[in-house]
Amino acid sequence: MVRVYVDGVEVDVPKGSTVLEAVAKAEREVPTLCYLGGVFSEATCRVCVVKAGGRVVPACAYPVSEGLKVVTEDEELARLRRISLELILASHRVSCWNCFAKSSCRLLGVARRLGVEGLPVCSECPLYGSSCLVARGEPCLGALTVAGCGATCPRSGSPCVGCRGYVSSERVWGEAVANHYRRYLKSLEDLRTAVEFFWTYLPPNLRRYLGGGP
Amino acid sequence: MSSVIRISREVSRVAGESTLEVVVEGGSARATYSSTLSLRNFERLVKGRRCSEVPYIASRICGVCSHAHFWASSLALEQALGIEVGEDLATIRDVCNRLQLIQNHVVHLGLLVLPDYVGREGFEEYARVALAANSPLLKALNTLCGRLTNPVGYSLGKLLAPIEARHLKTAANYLREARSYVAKLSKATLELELPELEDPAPNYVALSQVNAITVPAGGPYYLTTPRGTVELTEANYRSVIQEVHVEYSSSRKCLLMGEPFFVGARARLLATQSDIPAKVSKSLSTNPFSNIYAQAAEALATVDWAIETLEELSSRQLRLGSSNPGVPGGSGLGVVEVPRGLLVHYYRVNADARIKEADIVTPTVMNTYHMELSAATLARSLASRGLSEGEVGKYVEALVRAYDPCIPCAVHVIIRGE
Repeated sequence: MVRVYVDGVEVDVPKGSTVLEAVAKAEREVPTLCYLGGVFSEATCRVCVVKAGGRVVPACAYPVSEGLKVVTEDEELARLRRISLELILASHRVSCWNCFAKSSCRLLGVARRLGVEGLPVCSECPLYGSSCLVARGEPCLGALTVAGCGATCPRSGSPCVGCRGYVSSERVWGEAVANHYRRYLKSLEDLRTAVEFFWTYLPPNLRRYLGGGP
Repeated sequence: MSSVIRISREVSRVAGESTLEVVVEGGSARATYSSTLSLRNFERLVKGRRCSEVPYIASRICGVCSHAHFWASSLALEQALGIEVGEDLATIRDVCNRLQLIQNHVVHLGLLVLPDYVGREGFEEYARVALAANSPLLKALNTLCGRLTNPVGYSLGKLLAPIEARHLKTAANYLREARSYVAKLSKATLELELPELEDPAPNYVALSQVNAITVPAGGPYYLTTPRGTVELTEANYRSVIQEVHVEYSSSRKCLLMGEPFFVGARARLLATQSDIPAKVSKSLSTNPFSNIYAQAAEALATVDWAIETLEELSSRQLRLGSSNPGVPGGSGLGVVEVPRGLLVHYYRVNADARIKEADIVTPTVMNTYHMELSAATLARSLASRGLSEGEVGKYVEALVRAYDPCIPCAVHVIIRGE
């Protein structure tokens, strides 16, 4: 057995264990995304980073050693985890409105936990396919609005009014307008009125996507 | 002896920021209640918006009474567009409005009013009771319309998420949970000794439908006043309830055909002559402080009404009506009774179903003149009995609280000359 200290908590784990296993034994928790116990631990997402012996390492792949001191939470780690997730989201093709994952989305779970706002309300909305409000012709702002509310309004059948503000990713705006709104809505006119409800400032590019001048 | 009393203070424990000024000099007294809150331009904001969006925007006027504004604007727009509302949908919206009324009264009595009478020690107990009642009441609202405030469960003429018997039963159960706390608070309020005050203008207005705080489905609206019944229509509502602008405040004030009047729980009980506990019936018609008695009695009676109504609805097939989109154009008036009194929404709609004109008259605006008059009368009588400035200040502040003013609702436009 090897003795390690996770946030000051003393735990003994079998030789060859990963830091993540020691963290679990110490009843602490670090967020993970790509890690799938026993199946995949290639440390590609870098969301599970911790400090082991002062170095920043991925907890899912780093092996324990005798007397190793592990820190699971501090400001720098939070920042690094956020950056990792933002990079993943930047290259992720966000189209939550027709994604099967919806509220079981791992990405959404971790994004919420780390406070990264890259996913729209559609990711938490149970409406899907023809039950989607946009598919029924309603100018629902769920595809453009930051997730986190649990999609309370669409859940009750009422279109999202965007009270949480817009997702800041231009890729999401483009994808939503081109592949969701244009597909179902006769014109974007109602959508243009709807965004004025809460969004007093519209970035020029979002305005351009919605077709309302520069 | 002519002592001069000058009181100028921000009134605490009311919704919004407001200032009360009272001057007692010689035998005369003057009181002004004003707000310096900046522009809250809802009547302008909705211009040019789609009709279906307006109730959502209107409900943001005040988080405390979001259902009231939602419903009043829905009623007005349904009338303007000619949308028929199913009988049971109207009742469900009525229940939601009244749940908010109970919740408002409970919080107002427990957290804002009772500290004036029971002091610091007693206050804590009642605050706990009020919060214990508040929680299930909000859960009931959430069950019926999707959110605690700013309802999302229904839109013009239609229910968005289906309501089934189990939702109605759940809401009724939450109400049963709240009932004992509401009863406790109501009892405690009705046992209070009120300061003496003779109502200087016993002139009230309330919707006159018997046994209905709110009109089920859009007009005609009859108002009960001490001088008889008046029908409120689009054509005459501005002359019956005249809104005037005053220099010293950013909120308007109202006169009933030229005279100060009051609205609210006290006016409703006087108008319907129901639910009045015998013990308080005398002070109800003569003492403005007795609005808190009225709120206490009304809250408890409304809980029982709501439980009964929800049970009745849950026991049969709901008649929700078929929704139609209506015909754009026209105008409509929505009048409802809300926690603080009468709320009027008026809209004119363009042929493309967008708002051309909007007008909102809120209960606090209606109460202000009456409140100033009562405060002056109270201050004069207390000063003549030799009370100090600080003591008089305490009493007039308690009086303002008894009216339960809501400043965010009262300030809706401050454009000179309008």
